[in-house]
Amino acid sequence: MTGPDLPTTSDELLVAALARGDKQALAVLYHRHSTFVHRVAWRTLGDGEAARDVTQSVFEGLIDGARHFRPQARFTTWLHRVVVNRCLHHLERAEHRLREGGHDDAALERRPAPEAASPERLLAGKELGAAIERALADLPPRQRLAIVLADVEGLDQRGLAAALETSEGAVESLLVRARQRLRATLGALRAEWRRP
Amino acid sequence: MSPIPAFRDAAAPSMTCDDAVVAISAALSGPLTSTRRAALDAHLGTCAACVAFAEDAAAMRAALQALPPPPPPPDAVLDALEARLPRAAGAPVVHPSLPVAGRWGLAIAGGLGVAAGLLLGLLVLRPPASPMEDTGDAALLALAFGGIGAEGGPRRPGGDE
Ligand SMILES: [Zn+2]
Repeated sequence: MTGPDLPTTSDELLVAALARGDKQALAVLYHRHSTFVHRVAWRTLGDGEAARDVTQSVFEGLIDGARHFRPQARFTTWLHRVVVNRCLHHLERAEHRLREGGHDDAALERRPAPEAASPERLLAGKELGAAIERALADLPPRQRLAIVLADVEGLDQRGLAAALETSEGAVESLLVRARQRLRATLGALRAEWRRP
Repeated sequence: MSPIPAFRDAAAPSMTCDDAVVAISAALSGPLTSTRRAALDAHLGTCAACVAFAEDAAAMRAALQALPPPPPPPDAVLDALEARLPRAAGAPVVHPSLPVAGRWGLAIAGGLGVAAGLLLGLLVLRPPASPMEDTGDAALLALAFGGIGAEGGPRRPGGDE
């Protein structure tokens, strides 16, 4: 089936149906929200396989926890928080593996080749997208999530604070540090960005 | 290396460059209060470095928004999720304490099948202008799902890094 079959049913009501094993409720929720989840995970983790894993994990959490959902809560805020937590968890595990001296060969191979970052290549307009993605990957995890949710997904300060489980003041601080760091990484490209 | 002026011009209102960059960044994801907006505008009128930061921040946001969207997740994800459902759809699970839940369960249990159950649910249970929709209350949220949001990952409530 496709999501639009039940376009007017609220997320919260669908979660109640899902709690009883309703396959269609799962399908509607999935079609409604999986693109967002997958896109945030993809932008944050920079890796399709990891994004897929996080997407699956987020919806598994929904299935397993649907029985405990309280209808006063807003589904999307819950969803944003779980996406943030699962992405952070993924990044932390990956870093832990590297710190422990393990070889995360797959992750290393998925990273852009260092030579691709040469200024000559970056100055070409067609490389801008890749350069932005690389600069994003250079941000600390919470800064990266804050930027993805703010600039790619368009969440406002209140939504960001709820998703990141922090205050609006802390969100402002995270965002400005992220923008300063992105800017420093991409400084060589300023002229290119300002192209009319 | 671009110089960053340490402090505001003597004639400008009281906003430092440090405060200005935070306000510039915040303004990209929501309106500022009128006093903060006015102070920022006054600062931008006198500070080329902060104007440059504002232009770059807006350009970076535009560049991020212009990235081609990733492909959707593969269908195999939904297949795997369906296999995880707690029991076959159609199995009656009625929660007497929850009338809505009970009716959904009965509709499904009544042999109407999943589609019919949902349709009935729609007809009978169309929610009135959303008593379920939020309130935005963080405390309620925290209680929404007994902690499944947190269980898979670290929670770092501080605005660190
Ligand atoms: Zn300034």
